[in-house]
Amino acid sequence: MAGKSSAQKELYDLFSKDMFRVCLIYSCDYDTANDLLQEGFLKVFQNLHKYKDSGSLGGWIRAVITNNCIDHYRANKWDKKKLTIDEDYKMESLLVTFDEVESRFENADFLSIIKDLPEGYRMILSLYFLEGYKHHEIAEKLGISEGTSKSQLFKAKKYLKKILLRTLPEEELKKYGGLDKKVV
Amino acid sequence: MEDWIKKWYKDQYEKIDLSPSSSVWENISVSMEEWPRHWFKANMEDMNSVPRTSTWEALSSQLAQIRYPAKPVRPSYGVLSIILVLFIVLPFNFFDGYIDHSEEIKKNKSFADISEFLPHDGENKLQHTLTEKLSEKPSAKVEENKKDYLNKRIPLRSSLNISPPFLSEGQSFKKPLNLVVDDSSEDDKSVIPEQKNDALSLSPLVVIYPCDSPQNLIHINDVFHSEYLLGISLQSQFSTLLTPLRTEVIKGSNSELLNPLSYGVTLHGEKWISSKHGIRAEVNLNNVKSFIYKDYVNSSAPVLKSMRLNYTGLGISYLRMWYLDRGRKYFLKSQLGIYTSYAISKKVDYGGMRIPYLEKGFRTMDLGNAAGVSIGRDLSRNTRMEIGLYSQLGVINIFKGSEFLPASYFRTNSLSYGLNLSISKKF
Repeated sequence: MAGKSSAQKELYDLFSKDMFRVCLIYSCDYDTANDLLQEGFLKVFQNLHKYKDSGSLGGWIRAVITNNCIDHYRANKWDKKKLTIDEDYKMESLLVTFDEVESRFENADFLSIIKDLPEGYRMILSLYFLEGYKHHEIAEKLGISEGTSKSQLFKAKKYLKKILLRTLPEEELKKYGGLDKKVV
Repeated sequence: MEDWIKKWYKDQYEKIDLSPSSSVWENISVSMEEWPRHWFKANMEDMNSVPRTSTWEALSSQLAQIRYPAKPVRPSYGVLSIILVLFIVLPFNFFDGYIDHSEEIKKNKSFADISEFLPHDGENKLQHTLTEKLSEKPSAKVEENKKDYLNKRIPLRSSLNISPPFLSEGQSFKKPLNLVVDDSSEDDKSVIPEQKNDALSLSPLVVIYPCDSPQNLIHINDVFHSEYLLGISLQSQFSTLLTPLRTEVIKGSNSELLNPLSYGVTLHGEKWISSKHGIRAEVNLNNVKSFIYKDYVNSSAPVLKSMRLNYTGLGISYLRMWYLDRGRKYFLKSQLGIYTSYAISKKVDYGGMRIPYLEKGFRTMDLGNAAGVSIGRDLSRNTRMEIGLYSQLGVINIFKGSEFLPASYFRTNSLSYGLNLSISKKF
């Protein structure tokens, strides 16, 4: 089916890159993100009839993909994930395009920074910063209390701030106003 | 603190420019091959919800094109049926064995001369026998029959001087005189005047008409000449529906297929152009095409999943008849034709629950061919009974798809076969 014009393929092509970013931010692993994207889009296609016109299709798809990532986080599958090194996997690894390799290096800093964050911190930061969830929504999704969500977010920001102040160039910090409150 | 970290976080996120592996889509497309079944099972729990369909509507048609790409133009079975019928019918002369009124022969010859007007059908032993017999000198028994007939039944008041061979010189008659095969004769070759008190009277082979001229008209009656029949048939039939909807959506991994028995009624009219060839028009009522799956989701309580289309239809067939005895009481009849049906009800049932959005995918028309073979006998001059086997194959089903499933899933061939019992009245 690849390469043919189809509604599914068009939908996938339209949203896959954005959704892959979502998967990457929650997993911080290229292969795991591919798996999450695949699972997420299968859920999208199988539940497409449930989409209501009240919101944008992209928003609905993003919610499905994000929820899929959260499900995996809650099931702690990322840590338990075991890859079987078979011929297909080897071939797939070899077939990564040149552009993909280049892109990996371009974003290596950000991804490597957030990868170093504790997994719980990364989840809360992403849900709060990127998805715009409130604490009670984060608490519901992650199965924690609202107070835990608030305290985890506070700790996560503090943890990230320390890393950024230590690792980001001064120009970058100036650009975002990080130096204004930097304690020298 | 929060603002600049949040801004940095979002900016960095937006800058991520990674594409997923190409294998992701390949895996998705493979997994989605069985998506209808996934969808159907997943949504059985969600039967009462009314999902929005606008998105899917846009996708489904394109999806259908992929999953069911346009196939090479397959032969239209309906057209083939028509051609088949024509090929069977055309080689025959419809008027084979039939002498209509325009060809009635003024009998100014001896009776034996009518043999030249008999149908040229070497296989028709009955006619051949008659020809032979008419050329021979009547047996003593025939002579006796003639005498008995004339004495009892025919008022000989005509002044006409031309008479059939078994009438005495100077005798004549007013009513048509019918000759039939004498079943009681040992050699089965005798022809006798028709006995009116015969409970199972036979159609006459020869009719001699009186007329006002000094000539009688002889009509070689090919038994069913210009005969009309109206009748009713009761059918019991098994049927099934061959459709992707059945195999891709309704069938489970552990399902047992049942072909249900149904009963229908057919009203028919027949026009016999000759003794061998005829045309039949019929109306089929309660013509049910269906299937049932007994799905062993768990062994203790199988779930019944069924699809049932109830058609009312019209059919037209070519008829061919072969007589099994010389008296032409028993016959073998075959029919081949086409039919078109209108679905008056469509029902998809899942464990006792109707699934209307799977029923909507069918339109109402169906077209196919029908074939049958039956044996029968004439109970009397006016009544006929038949019992036979028949089959219908629906080959052109008109479908539209639904908002949930592409039209291709509703492409359906129907097959039914069964037993019918019919009784007809001749006119």
